[in-house]
Amino acid sequence: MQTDRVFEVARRATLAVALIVCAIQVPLAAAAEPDTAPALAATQEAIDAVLAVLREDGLTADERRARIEKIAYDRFDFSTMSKLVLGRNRSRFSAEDQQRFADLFRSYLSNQYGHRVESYEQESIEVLGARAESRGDVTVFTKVVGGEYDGATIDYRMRDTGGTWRVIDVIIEQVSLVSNYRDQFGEVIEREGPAGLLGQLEEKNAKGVADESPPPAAPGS
Amino acid sequence: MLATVSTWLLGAPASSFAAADPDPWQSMNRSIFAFNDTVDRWFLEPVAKAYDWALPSGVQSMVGNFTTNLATPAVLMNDLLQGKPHEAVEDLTRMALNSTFGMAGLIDVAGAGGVRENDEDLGQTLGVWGVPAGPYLVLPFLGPSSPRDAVGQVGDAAATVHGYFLGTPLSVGIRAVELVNLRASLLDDVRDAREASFDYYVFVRNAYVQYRLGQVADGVAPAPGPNPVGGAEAPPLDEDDLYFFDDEASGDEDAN
Repeated sequence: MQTDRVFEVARRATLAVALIVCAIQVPLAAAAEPDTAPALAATQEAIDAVLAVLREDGLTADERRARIEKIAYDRFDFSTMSKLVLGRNRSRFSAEDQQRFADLFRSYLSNQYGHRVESYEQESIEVLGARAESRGDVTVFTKVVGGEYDGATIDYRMRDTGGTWRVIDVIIEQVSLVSNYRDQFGEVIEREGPAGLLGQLEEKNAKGVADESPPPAAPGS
Repeated sequence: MLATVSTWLLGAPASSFAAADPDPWQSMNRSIFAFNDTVDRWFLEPVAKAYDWALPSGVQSMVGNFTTNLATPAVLMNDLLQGKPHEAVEDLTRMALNSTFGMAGLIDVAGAGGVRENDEDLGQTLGVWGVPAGPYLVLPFLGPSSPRDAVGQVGDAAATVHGYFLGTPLSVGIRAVELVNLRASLLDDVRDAREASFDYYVFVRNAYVQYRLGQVADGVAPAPGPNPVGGAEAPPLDEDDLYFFDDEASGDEDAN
């Protein structure tokens, strides 16, 4: 019957389309997944390590901070970060000053984010997935669960540095840390030159060490 | 300020000079920013500190829930304008549940039940429709904005319950409480940002512009459900510039 033939043709056509779609998609999927898997694993490991330290009982604030700093030094590529943050202005720094900047910037980040460790209130981090980016980078998407910042997104831009995936940018609620500091540093360098920026970093770092763990300023208390 | 805004509206398309200078109104913006910062330090922040000291955090979050609930009609409007029926149903559900079982919005029962709030506003809607943000603009008292987002703020204010249905004095009062409550929730964040930043103005500008780009793109923040692996939405960053070393192209691989 005529209708049988129509169904037969339709079935074959569907099968053919399905096969073509599979043929295209399988290699795509195969190519995409191994790309992001190591970066995802590295991020998960780092998050687990940090949360383990935060949840461990009987550590003093200083011990906790020192341990997290160690994890951060292993997992972040501060050298790449400091280059990205200087951007075009890097050529205005001598080789020694570039190194000095990298060291100062690392201490600065450590001071700024280190004291946040004390405000930890049992929130956890959920890893949502990853996406391959240009230049072989991978962005890993995570979300805060619980606590004051419940639902906030934190994305990590990861780069393969000699077989180890390290963080080269942190994007909190869509705001890239590298972009933000690049803009600020660009402004300071334009006004005061490289020496001005190095001076400001030193000043802030000295202050950060001086008033380590300041008591929270509560009005009226 | 009006003169500069109208120059922007009538003159060159935003994109043509946005690329050349991301902040063409910088000197005016910096003056207004300094003014706002002074108002904040001398008035808003002390009031928010006192408020924060006087009211337990539970009460503060109830106040936040209450004003959020009053503003939900504006969010709903933007869900619809952006063609997001799923979000529109969510926000309608939130309004219905929280206004009744949630005691006039004081308690976020819908949120506790898993119906999360959406974050849409008219500035984003205009962005989704393709209206460019225009140059960065700092508004007196209101803070970081853009011509597009400033228009959006006016529209959104009119679409809230207190902006539309209630009389002006009550509306102003609710807005004041909303502002103080919001400022109280940001006491530590703002203090940290002021201390840590190298140029507070640039810090805020960069964060605002990035954040709004992300919101308009509904960015990489994955909606509940779909896994972003291999997701199609592009990040709101100018990547090639941001993650590229100048000297790399010449094959000069720094071994660090």
